[in-house]
Amino acid sequence: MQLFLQNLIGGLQMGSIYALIALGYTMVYGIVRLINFAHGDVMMVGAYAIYWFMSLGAVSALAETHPLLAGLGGVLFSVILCVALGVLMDRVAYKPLRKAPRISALITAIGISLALQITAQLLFGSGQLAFPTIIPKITLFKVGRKPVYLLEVLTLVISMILMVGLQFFVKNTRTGKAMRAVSEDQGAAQLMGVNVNNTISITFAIGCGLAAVGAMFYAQKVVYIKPLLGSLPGLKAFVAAVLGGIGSIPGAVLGGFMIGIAETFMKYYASEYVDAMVFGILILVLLFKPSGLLGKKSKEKV
Amino acid sequence: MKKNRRFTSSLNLIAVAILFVLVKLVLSLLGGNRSLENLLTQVCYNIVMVTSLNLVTGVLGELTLGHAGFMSVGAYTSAILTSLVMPGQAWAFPLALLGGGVVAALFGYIIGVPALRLKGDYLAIITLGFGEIIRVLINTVFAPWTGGGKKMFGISLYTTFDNAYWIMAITVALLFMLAWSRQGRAILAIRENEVAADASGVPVTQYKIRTFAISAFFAGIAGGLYAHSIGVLDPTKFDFNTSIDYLVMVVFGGMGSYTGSVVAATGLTVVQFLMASLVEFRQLAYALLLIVMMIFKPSGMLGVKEFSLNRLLAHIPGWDAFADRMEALLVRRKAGSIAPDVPKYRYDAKSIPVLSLEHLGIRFGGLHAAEDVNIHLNDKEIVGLIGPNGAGKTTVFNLLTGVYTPTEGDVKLMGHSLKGKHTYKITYEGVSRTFQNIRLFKSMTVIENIKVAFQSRMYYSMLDGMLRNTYYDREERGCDKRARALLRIFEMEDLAEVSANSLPYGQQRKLEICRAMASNPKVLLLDEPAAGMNPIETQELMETIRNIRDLFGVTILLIEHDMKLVMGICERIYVLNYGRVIAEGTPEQIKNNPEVVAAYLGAPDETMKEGAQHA
Amino acid sequence: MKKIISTLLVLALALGLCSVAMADTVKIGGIAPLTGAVSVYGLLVKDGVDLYVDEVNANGGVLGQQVEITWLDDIGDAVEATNAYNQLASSGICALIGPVTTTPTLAVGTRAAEDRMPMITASATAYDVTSAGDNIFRACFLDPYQAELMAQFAKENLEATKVAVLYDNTNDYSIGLQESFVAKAQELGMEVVASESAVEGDADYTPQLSKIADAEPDAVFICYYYETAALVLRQSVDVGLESWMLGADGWTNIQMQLEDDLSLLDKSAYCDGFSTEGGSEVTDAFVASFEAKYGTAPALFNALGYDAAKIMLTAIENAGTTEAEAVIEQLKATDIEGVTGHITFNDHNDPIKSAFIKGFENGEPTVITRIDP
Repeated sequence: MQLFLQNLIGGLQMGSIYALIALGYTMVYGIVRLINFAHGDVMMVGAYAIYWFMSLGAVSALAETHPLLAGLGGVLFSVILCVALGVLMDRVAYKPLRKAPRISALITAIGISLALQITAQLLFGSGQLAFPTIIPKITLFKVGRKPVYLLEVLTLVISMILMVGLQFFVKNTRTGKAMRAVSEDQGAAQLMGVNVNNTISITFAIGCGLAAVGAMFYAQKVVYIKPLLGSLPGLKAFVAAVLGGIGSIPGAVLGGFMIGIAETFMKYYASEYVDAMVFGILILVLLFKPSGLLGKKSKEKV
Repeated sequence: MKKNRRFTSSLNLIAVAILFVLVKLVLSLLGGNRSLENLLTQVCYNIVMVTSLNLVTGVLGELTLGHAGFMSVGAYTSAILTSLVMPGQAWAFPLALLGGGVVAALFGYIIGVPALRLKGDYLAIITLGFGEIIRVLINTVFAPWTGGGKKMFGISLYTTFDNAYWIMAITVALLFMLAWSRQGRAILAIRENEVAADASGVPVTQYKIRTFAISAFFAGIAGGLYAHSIGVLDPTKFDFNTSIDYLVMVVFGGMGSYTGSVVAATGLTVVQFLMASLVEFRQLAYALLLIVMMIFKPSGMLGVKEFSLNRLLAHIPGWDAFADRMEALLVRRKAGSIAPDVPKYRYDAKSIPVLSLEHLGIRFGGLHAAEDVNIHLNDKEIVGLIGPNGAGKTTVFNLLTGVYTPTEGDVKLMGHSLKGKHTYKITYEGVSRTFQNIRLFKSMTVIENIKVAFQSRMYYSMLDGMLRNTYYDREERGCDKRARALLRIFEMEDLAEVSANSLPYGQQRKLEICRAMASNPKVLLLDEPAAGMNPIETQELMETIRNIRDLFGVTILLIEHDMKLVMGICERIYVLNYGRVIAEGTPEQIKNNPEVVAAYLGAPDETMKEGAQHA
Repeated sequence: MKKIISTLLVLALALGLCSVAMADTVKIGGIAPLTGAVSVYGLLVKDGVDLYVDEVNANGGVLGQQVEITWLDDIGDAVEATNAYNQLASSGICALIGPVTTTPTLAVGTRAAEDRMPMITASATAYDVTSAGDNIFRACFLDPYQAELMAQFAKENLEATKVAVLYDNTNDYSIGLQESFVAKAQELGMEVVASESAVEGDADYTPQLSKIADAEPDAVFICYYYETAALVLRQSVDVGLESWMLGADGWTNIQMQLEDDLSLLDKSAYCDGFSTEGGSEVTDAFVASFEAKYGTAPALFNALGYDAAKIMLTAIENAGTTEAEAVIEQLKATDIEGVTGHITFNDHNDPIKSAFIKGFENGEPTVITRIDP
C-alpha cells in the first residue's frame, strides 16, 4: 500500500505536467487539425524564460529574500512570452497554410521546433543549467521513506484548478463557444460572425500559456534545463492527448494522468520497457477505441 | 496509355546508365575521391528511403511518422544475416538486403492491418508508436543479436556506390512503374477520394496495406544499404527525428512526386553535407529553410509533377518522329490486347427482380434512419426514389452499396444477398453508383478516372505491373481501348486527357455516370444526377439516362428532386418519408397520392424534425 | 539536371579541401563532436589536443616540420563521422586523433582499419573500439577496469555487503560499467540487490531510485555522465535514499552541477583517470600551461586529448617518417610519461595506466586512493 502510494504521488505529479502540455496539443488539433510538434519546445522556451528572468540582476537580488515573489514574476514573464510566441507562430507560420495540405503545416511545425531548439542552444549553450528553486522544498509529510514535498501537492492542485478553469471557459464564455464552433465547422462559424483567425490565435495563446505553467513545474521537478528538454515530454503529452481522445479537453487530462501514473509504475517494476509500454498502451487503446477514451467519433458524410 | 512506352523506358535506362558512367568518370578523374563517393552512396540510400516514404505519404496520402523503424528492421536483419548467419560471404549481401526488406515488409503488414482499417491520422500515431517500440525491443529483447545499446559493429562494408546506385535506380523504376499500373491508379484514386475509389471497385483497405508493406520493404532495403555502408548500428539513430528527416525530404520535393523525392533526397543530403562547416548555424538554417519553403510553396518544390526525359527531348525538332520510328523498331511483334472483363449476369429475369430490398433498415443509436424498406427493381427498369429532405434516400443508397451495414432486413441482387459485403465487392457483383456531391478523382485525367473503375475487371498482378510484362501490356492496351470507347458513347472522347477538376459542372456529372458504367454494372444507382443543372442540361441528362439503359441494358434507380425529370423518365416511383416507403406506383399514381402530397407540403413542425434527421 | 549541379558543387568542395593541403607539414586529422548534444566532450578533447600541438610546433614540430591539424565535426553521429573521416583521408592526413564517442569511433575504426590509418581516440571507453584493427589505439582506460575498481572500493573501503546499480540500457558506456560492476561485485561476494535502468537525459528517476532505496543497498553505482548523475543525486534525496553513491570517470566536474547544495556529494566517490594534485612534473607543467592558455583548470577529457596527441606525435617522431606501418609499430611500442600517468599499451592497444578514486571534501574532489597498474 505504501509502495502504491509512493508511486501514485510521483505519477500524479508527472501526470499533471503531461496533462498541462497535452491540453495545448489537443486544443490546437481540435481547432485546426494540426499536430503542433513545436508545442513541447514552447514548454522549453517557457522554462528558459523563467531562468533568464530570474538571473536578471534585480530579480536575483529579490530572489535572495523573496524567492516565491521573484518566481511568480518569472512565471508571469514566461506566460506572457509563450502566449506571444504562440500567437506569433500561428500568425506567421500556420495562418498562410490554412488551405494548404495538412502535412505542409506539420512540416512547418517541425521546422519551428528545430528553430526553437537551436536558438536556445545558441543563446544558452547545449549543456544543462541549474534551474532556480521557486517553490521552497518543504516536506509536508512522509509516505514510508519518501518525503512528500509542497511542490508535488502544488503541482497537482494548481494544474487541476487550471484545467477546471479551462473547461469552464470553453463551455461557458463567448470566446470558448466560438472556439467550439470553429472546431466543429470553420465555414459555418465564419458565417455566424465568429472571427475564425482570432479564435485560432486565442487557442494557440491558451495552449502556450498552459505550457509555460507546465514548464515551471517541470523545471522544478527536474532541476536542470537544457534545449532539448521539451521533445520527450512533448511526445508523451501528445500520446496522452491521443489516448484521451484528441480534441477533447477532459480527454487530454485523463490521458496525461494515465501516462504519468503508468510510466511511474512501469519505471518501478520493469524500467527497461517504459517507452515501449507507453506507446503499447496507446496502440492498444486505439485498436479498440479509435477515437481515444473520451474522443468523439467522426464519420465522413457520403 | 502513354505513347511510345517501350522507347521511353529504353531512353530512361540509357540515361540512367550514362549518368552512372559520368559519375564514375568524375570519381576516377578525382583519383578515387572517397569522400564524394561516400556522399553519393548516402544520396542513393536516402533516395530509396524517401521514394518509399513518398509511396505511402505522398501517393497514398497516409501520414507515417515511424518510417525509420522499418529502416532499422531492414538494417538489423540484413546485418545479422551477413555477419552472423553468413559471415564473410560477399555473395550473400544481395540475399541479406532482400531478407531485410522482406522482414521490414512483414512488420509493415502487421502494423498496416489494424492501422489502415481506420481513417484519419491513426497510421501516423501507430507508426510513431511502432518506431519507439521497435527501438526498445532492439535494446532489450533482441539485444543478444543486435548488441542493443552496446551497438552492433564490424558489419562488412559491402555497400559501394556502384551497387547502391543500381539498387536506387531499380527502386525508383519499380515504384514509377507501379504508379502507371492499374494498382498505381487505384492507390492514387484512394488518395483523391477514398469513398469513390471504394465505389469504383477498389479494395481500399487491402490496397492500403499492400502499399504500406511495399513501402516498408524498400525502407528495409535502404536500411540494409545503410548498415553495410556505415558498419555500425546504433538503435538511437533510428528515432523519431530520423523519420521526420525523411518526411521533410518527401514534403520538400513535393508530395506524390517521385522526381521531387529524388531531387529532394539528393539536394538535402548534399546541402546538409555542405553546410557542415556552418557548425551551429547549420541546423538553424535548415529549420528556417523548411518554414520558408512551406509558407511560400506548401506543395513542395515540384508539387505532383514528374520529370520526363522524353518530354524534355521532344523540344528537339523531329524528335517525335524519331521516337515513333524507334518504338516501331523496338516493338516488332505487337501482342493482341485484352479488354477488361465484361461480366455476364445470368439469371431468370421473369421470376425474380434484379434488385430487391427486403424489410431493409438501419438504426444509428436510437434513430431509425431507415425502416422496413421494401423496393423491387425489375430488369432494365428506370425507377425513381423520391421524398422530402432527410427522408433517408441517400441512407438507402448507402445501405445498398455497403457503406453502411443494414441492421435489419436484406438486399438481394439477382437473388444473392449483398448484406455485409464490402462496397468494392458489391461493385464487383454488379451495383455501381454516383454521388450526390460529385466525387471524382480530381487531379487525375478524365480517362484515368474511367480506368480506375475497370479495376475490378482486370487481372494482372502488382508484380506484372512493376515489371511491365506482356500481361500488363495486353490488358493495359485493352483497357485504354475500352475506356476510349466508353468516353465516345458519352461524347467525351476529346476530353480524355483533360484533368477532371477542370471540366464544367455538367460534364463532371456525366463523367461520374460514365465511370460508374465502366465496371459494367447490372444496376446503376444515381444520387441526384440533375442537382445544380440548368433546364437544358437536365433535358440532355434525361436523354443520356435513357440511352444508357437502352444501350447497356442496365437497371437504374435514381434519387432526384427535379420532378420534371423524375416524372419524365421513371417508369415507377417509390416515395420515402421518415425512413419508410409511404407510396409506390407509376408517376401518374404518385402525383395523385394524397399521402405524398402531404409529405411534401407537410405540417411546419414536422419539417423541423426532418431537418434534424438529415443524415 | 539538379543532380548534376549538386554533384558539381560537391566536387568543388572536395577540390577546395585538397587545395588547402600544403607541402612541408605533418598533416593530422581530428574528429570530434563540436556541436550537438555531446559537444561538451568533443570541445574538451579538442582543447587538450590543440594545446599539445601548439607546444610541439613551438618547439620545432615533428620530423622537423610543423604539425597541421584539421578538425571536423561529427555531431556524435556515425554517418557524419564517416563523412568527416573520408574527407580527411582524401585530403591526405597521415594520422587521426578521434573520434570522441563510441558509435562514431566504431564507424571510423572500421574504415581506418581498411586503410591502415594510425588512429587514436582520446576517450572512447567501450572495449571493442580498438578491436577492428591493430592500427587503432586509445588514451583512456576501459569501462570494465574502472567498474571493477569501484566494486573493489565498495567492498574494501566502504565494507559494503549489498550494492545496487542504476544504468542506461541504451548506452554502451553505461552498459559496460554495469556489466563489469555486477560481475566483479558478485565475485567479491557482495549481493547485487537492484539493477535498474533509466535512459540518460530522462527527467524523473525517482521511481527507479525508490525501488533501489527499498532494497536498502550500502552503495549504489550510478553509471551516467555528470549531468544526469547530478540529477540522480538530487532525486535520490527525494525518495529517502541515503546510501553511498559511486560513479566512474563520466562524473568528472559533477560538483559544478551541484553548487547550491554541495552536501549532496558528502557520501560520493568516483573513479577518475586524471588528477591535478600530487602528480608528476609533466602533470604540473600541463596544468600550468593549460591554465595559461584557456584560463581554467584542465579536466579529464582535456588531459586525455593532450595525452592522445602526445602519444601520436611521439610515435611519428620516433618512426622518423609518416609512413603508416612504421607509425603503428611505434604506437605499439609507446612508453611515455603522460599527464594521466605512465602509458604503455597491451595487446588490445589499451593503455595500462594509473587510476584515481576520488571523494569530495566540501564539494572539491580529493584523491582517496591512487591505483597503479
